[in-house]
Amino acid sequence: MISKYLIEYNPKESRKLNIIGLRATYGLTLMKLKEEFNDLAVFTADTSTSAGLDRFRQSYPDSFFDVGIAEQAMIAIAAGYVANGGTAIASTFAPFLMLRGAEQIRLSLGYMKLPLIVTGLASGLALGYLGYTHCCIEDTALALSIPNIFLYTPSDSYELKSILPYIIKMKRPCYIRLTGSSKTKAVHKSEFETDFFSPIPIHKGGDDLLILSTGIVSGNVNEALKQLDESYTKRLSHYILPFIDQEKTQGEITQLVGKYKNIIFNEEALYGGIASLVTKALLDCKSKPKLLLNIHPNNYIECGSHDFMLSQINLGVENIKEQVVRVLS
Amino acid sequence: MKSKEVDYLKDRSSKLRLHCLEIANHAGDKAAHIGGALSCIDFIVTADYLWKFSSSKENLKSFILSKGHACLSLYALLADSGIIDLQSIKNTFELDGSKFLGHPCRNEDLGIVFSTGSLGNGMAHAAGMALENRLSNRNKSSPTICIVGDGECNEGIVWETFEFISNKNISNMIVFIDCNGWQQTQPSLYASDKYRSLYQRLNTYNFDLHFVDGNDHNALLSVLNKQEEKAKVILGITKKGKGFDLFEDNNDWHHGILTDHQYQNLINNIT
Repeated sequence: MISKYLIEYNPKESRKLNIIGLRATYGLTLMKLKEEFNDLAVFTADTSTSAGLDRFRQSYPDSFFDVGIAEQAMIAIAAGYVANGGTAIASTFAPFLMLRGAEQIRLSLGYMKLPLIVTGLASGLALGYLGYTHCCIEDTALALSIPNIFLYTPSDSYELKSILPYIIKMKRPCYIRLTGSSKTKAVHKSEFETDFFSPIPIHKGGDDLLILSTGIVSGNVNEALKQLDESYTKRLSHYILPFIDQEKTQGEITQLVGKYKNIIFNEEALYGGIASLVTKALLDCKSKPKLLLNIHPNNYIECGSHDFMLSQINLGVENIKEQVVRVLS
Repeated sequence: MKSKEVDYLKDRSSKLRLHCLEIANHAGDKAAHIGGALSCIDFIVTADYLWKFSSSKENLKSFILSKGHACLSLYALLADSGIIDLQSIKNTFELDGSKFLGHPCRNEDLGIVFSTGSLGNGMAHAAGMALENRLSNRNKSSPTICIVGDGECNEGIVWETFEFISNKNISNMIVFIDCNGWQQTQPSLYASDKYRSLYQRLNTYNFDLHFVDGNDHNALLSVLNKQEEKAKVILGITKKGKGFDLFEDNNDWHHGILTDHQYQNLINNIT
């Protein structure tokens, strides 16, 4: 018997949180969750403001640990903390967390299965204007190449706020990948159910096309569908993939893609991450839908604003609209 | 009384060193890290005498061997304390499916909290554990004890963690740096000036810092018994391969194959 959890919807709160974006929502939510999870400790690597955690730091100085600009130590110290029975969440910018700290994540979360939550801030191309040193397109591939890691990529800020308490309660090794910058487009417009491993439907139309997406580009898909004529949208469905459980999600994706004639997959990351689950699903399913992968190419593209970079890799709203029209024509 | 204590500690050190040899001999041609295990035994025995961390699996959790390649010393301790019998370790050491590999693997049933061997990480884990102990008021009577190799101090994460321990004053932690003069392929980078610059560097941190003969039980007892307010960091000058002429200060035995013949000779010379 698989448990499903109902995630409630509050339009007013959703609007507010999507204006402040994922990072500010993250800090704000942890602040509130501290009341529920007494023993929650927060670790950062000189990124309290970047993670919206300044209020947490001021309100709970005894539960807030800034290790300085020392990501490897942050991960390992926080892992030691949870190994001793504590509850901890550690965050810093995604490339420094997942790339510099890859070995600590493999050892603590992967090999030892310690129930530490690590959060990569501003992953993907959100900080493209700062150059690729501050972008992270490699993290989902890395996270999914390490056994035992549960991956959560929020689709919008309200979802993050709603899911975070469940992630803390799960007590499992988890990587939370926050994409996007200050504003997020709302993806959820109503309550939804989740088992924390299956794709979640956002728009259910026909079976000519399945659009799968992960992270805040799901908002671009939503926006594109809003702008498209109903003659298109009634022939397609849109599902998001916020949760990747390495044991369970693959089967769910395989089941889902087998029902459609065409698939468009959108992920702000290199191949090797969730895209590899989708391509494997196609190998496993009997019907052979056509697949278009909108992912980051295997080279470092010209840098600039988030929207500029997304449009270069077919993840902008206009790109998605054009693709849908092309596939369904 | 004190000499009796020291006699007991010396005897136990000898016993643990013999256990190390037996296990190493069973490794056969897979070889074992012998030198660095033997150098830190005296500290383990002395600290265990004071805090009895080998008295139960639960207590053992406060002892972290960050220089995981010295696992023979940990396994010898497990055997000597009765947490598991020596035969079980010898029979499976480094074999297929073993719980006793060439580096310790997390195994809560044995009281091994962290998989160590990826150098530097164990010390950071230990710092996190000590922090949690302090915050939760768990395990108040016993410090978190961590052994770090001098070669291990090349790792950046060691210094990141020293910063953290110093900055947050993790005073319920003892770090023993096993300064045995060598790292894997060369003399220790800190040994050329007899560890003076390493000491000076560490002395800039907020630690209760000590420089002792790490193979002298008396000196170790004296340092460990000091009631202090900060994290205790001990630079213990030790001899790699301590206890046997064949191994002492000979880095060929950092990781070596102890043949039956060599083993028998060593045993015969003791008795």
